[in-house]
Amino acid sequence: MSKFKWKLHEVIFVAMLCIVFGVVYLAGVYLASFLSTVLTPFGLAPLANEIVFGVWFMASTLAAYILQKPGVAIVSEVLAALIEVLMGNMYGPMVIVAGIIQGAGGEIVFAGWKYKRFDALTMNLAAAGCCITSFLWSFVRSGYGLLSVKLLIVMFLIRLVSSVLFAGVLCKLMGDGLAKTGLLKSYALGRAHA
Amino acid sequence: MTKLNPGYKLLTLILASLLLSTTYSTTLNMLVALTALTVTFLTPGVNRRRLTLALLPFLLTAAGMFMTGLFFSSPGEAEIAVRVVDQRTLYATSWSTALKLASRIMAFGGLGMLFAFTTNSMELVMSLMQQFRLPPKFAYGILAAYHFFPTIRSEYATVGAALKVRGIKAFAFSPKRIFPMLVHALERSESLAMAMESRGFEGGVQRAVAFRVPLRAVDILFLIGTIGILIVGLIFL
Repeated sequence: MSKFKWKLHEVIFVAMLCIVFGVVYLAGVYLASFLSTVLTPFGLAPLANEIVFGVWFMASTLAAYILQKPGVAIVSEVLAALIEVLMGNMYGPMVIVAGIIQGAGGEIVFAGWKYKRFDALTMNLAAAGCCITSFLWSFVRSGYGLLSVKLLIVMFLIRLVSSVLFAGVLCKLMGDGLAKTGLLKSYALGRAHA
Repeated sequence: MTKLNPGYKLLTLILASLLLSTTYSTTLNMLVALTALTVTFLTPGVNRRRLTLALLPFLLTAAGMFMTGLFFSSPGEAEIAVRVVDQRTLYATSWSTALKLASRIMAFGGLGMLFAFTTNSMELVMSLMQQFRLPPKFAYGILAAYHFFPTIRSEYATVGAALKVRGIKAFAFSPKRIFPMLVHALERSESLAMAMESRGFEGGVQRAVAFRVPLRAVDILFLIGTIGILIVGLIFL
C-alpha cells in the first residue's frame, strides 16, 4: 500500500506545483481575455481560451511524471482545482468537477501502462487524454451541442495542440531538467535518473 | 451566506451547477444568475467594489459566448432569416442559441461568485477536513502551499525581469521562466514539510481541532432547499 501513500513533502510539492502553474495560467488568461475580446465580434471568443487550455493540465502531468505512482494525475488535478476555488475562481465549485474529469483523462493513460512507463509517449498521450475528457466535459457543461460541428472541430484541435505542447512536451522537458539538477533524489523520477 | 458551512455550500453549488447543465432554459439560467448575484451583493461583509469589478470579465465571457452562438450555432430545422448583418444571414434559431449559451455562462458564473465572495478559504479547507474526510496531511499541505501564492506570483515577475535584464526573450509560458520557479517550489516544499514535521505534525494520528467548523440544520436546509427549488424550476421552465 505504500505505493498509494503520500508523504507530506509530496503533498506540499504538488500543491506548490499547482500554484506555480496557477500563476502562469493566470498570466496566460490575461493574454487570452485580451485576445477573446478582440475575437468577440467575430464570434470566435472561445478559441482564445483554447490556446492556453493546455496549461491547465501541466501540474497534473508533471506531478505524475515526477512522483510516478497511481492516483497522482487525478489527485493533483483536484488539488489544482481546489486551489483555484480558494483563490476565488469565477466558476468556483464547477472547477472541482472539471478537475476530477480532466485528471481522470491523464490517469487512464498512466494506468494503461500499469504505472511502469513514464516517457515521452505516455506523457503526450496523458496530455491528450486530459484534453479529450475535458472537451467532453466542456461539451456537456457549456452546451456545445448547440454549436456547429465545424467550430467544435477547430476548438478541439487547438485544445489538443495546446495540451500536448504544454502538458506533454514541455512538462517532460522540465521534469528531465529538474532530475538533472539532482533535486529530485527523493522522488521516483530522480531515482530513475540516478 | 458567510455563516453557512463552506463544505456543504460547495456541495450544494456543485449539485446545483450539475442540475443546471441539463437544461437550456434561458429563463431559469437568468433567474439563477440574478438571484445568486443579488444574494451575494446583499450579503453583509462582501466587498461590493471588488464584486462589481469581477463582473466585468464575467460579462465579457458571456458576450463572447453570445456572439459565438450567434454565428456558429448548429443548423436547426425550419430556419427563418431574421436579419442580415454584414452580409451574414442570421437565423431566429441562432438568436435563441446565443441566448441559451450566454445565459448558461451567467448562471454558472453567478453561482461561482456567490461562493467565491462569501467563503473564507481557511474555513473551507477546515470544513473539507472535518465534514468530508479530507486527510489532514492534504488539508494542511494545501493551506501551507496556498499561503505562498503571493510569494510565487512576485517570483514569476522577478524571474521575468531577471531574464529581461540579461536580454533573454521569454514569453509567458517559456520553460526558461517556469523552470527556476519549479526549482524553488521543490526546495520550498522540502523545507516546509520538514518544518511542519519537526514541529510535531503527523498525518495519520488523531488530532485536536482548534478551528471547529460547525454543521447546522441550516446547512442541510440550504442544500435541500436549493436543489428542490432548482428541480421545480427545471420541471416548470
